Amino acid sequence: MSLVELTDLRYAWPRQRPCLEIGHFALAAGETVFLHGPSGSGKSTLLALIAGVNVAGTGQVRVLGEDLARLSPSGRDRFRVDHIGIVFQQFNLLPYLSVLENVLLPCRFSALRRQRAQAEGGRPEAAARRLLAGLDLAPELWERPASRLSVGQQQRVALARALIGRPALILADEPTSALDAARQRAFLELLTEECKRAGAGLLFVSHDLRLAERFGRVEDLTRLNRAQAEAACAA
Amino acid sequence: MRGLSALLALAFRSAWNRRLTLGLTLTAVCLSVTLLLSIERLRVDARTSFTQAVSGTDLIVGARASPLQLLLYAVFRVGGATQEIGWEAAAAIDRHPAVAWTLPLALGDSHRGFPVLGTPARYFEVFRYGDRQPLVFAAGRPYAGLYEAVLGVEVAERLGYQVGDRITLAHGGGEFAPEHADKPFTVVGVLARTGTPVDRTVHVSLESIEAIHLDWQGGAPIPGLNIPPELATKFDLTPKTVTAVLVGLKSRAQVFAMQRWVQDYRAEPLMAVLPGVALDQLWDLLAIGERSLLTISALVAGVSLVGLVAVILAGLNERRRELAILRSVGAGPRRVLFLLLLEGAGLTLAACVLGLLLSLALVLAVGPWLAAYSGIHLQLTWPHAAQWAWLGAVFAVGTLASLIPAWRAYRLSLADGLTPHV
Repeated sequence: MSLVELTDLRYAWPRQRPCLEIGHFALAAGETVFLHGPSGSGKSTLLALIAGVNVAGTGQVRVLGEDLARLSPSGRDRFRVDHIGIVFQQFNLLPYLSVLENVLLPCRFSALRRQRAQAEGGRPEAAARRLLAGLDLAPELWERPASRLSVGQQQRVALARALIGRPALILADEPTSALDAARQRAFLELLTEECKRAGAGLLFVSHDLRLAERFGRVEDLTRLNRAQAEAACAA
Repeated sequence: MRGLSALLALAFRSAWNRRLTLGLTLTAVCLSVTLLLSIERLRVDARTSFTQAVSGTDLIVGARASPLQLLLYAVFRVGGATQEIGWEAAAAIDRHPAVAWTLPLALGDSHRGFPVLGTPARYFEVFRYGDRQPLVFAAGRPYAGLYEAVLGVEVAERLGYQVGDRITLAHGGGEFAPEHADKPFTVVGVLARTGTPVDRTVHVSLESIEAIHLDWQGGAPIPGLNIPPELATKFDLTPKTVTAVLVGLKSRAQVFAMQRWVQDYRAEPLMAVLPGVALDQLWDLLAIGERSLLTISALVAGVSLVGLVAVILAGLNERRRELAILRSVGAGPRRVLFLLLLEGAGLTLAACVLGLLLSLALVLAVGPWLAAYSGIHLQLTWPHAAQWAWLGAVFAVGTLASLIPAWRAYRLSLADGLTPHV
């Protein structure tokens, strides 16, 4: 069973032409995939479909064998927090929460993630601290408001939040675009390694092919996507 | 429902993060609630105070003028009489077979802003207020002779007087009224609190009023004439005129017959007023002012709620990232709607509670002063029905209005998915 499997997927934003048509795409458990595509090629839309935030008009999106369209809206919301960790381009953190509280967010909304975090030893906080330490964030930062951190630090906190409670799938939407070249490399290294260690599958979308070398597989969205409506997919 | 408490905590933290702007709008709503509650409190308590002021009096008789004016000066010591009535007329009313008692009232003098009332000593036995309650002495006794005064409790407390103290009365009202300094009065009694204009009245006998005016004419001492206090007893101290007469009848059934008798009194034009009827006129008059005050404060409350909603709505665009993050950790659009609704309703509720507390604090702060100078006693009690209604209305309108930003957040989080199109 694939971790993610898309079949005959077709999606259009309301009152627009279809911007996404994918015959077949699969991501195996633990696999790291770099999905390349220029802006407007439907990367974010695809991630939103896999995350169950939006639902495909036709075709199937299966995650862990579950057909997301068959779940209720609130069922999809629960499924997302239970099984998927998401890292955005930037502004990943709630500015009014501390670093630690940001990392613990999924545990507050998902019993499953909390249980898995606890299973790693003690309280979810312990798991969060371990993750933050592993991502090289100094302990004196942990209680600080997230808004006080540098962009690079924020992205690492976001990664810790995505990883806590061992979700099966990590979705990353250009998470390095706000970083300089040296930090991009370091962040990618952390990302791929942590996913490997956690046994999580990783779908990384970016327009920047130079980042692709660390991934198990590289896919080109412009080739996958048969809908070639120019800029129909909003960034 | 797991995540609900997490959501509540997040709503609070998020709002706290924007505490400056939200705090300012909260203050606006809170003050408007205070305004509404205070005006409502004043309205109801003023009515109660006015209704309590006189009881058991069947008719108020005065010179022919507006019934309302007569009520205001005879009962509430507000304003003055343009004309007095002759002593002979007062005596004729007293002699009428239907009449149980009369209380001639002589008004016009004052003591440091408090009105002076000249009336026979039987006033302390006959007069009733509230629910037919008699006057009670907190200290001392009724006056028996000249130059003796009985104080209402507010006068005694405000000015720090006790039985045995000496005071001088001023001719007319106001700060610069000339004083009857040559004939000081001794405080012989202090009345217990009534919650009516009695509390801020200085009571003396009719003869005392007459005595201090022996050597006066036209509002000033007659030059060269000075009658020492002890000599005043040599004069006939029966008053020539009084300001008004309170009348108690043997039977209430005779009230209209008696009223007609007074109206038809030949020797001079008189007027008899039923206190209840005059009070109704007073309400009608006050109702206009009350209604406009309430309308204005309701509008103020409305405006402040519009401000609150506008502030939440304006902040929404900056919070689209926040909403996307919440969605990524499993908060559905309905949760987002609920979050925003919670924020608006929570702020309105906080404003209502703070406004209520502030209005109570206001009663504590202003109440004693208002009681002393206007006779209106503000009650420091749990809100009454009308106040609850206003509180409920503000909360309901605030919560309903919060649906606007909540609905917009719902739409945004649906349209944005995981990536805000900012």
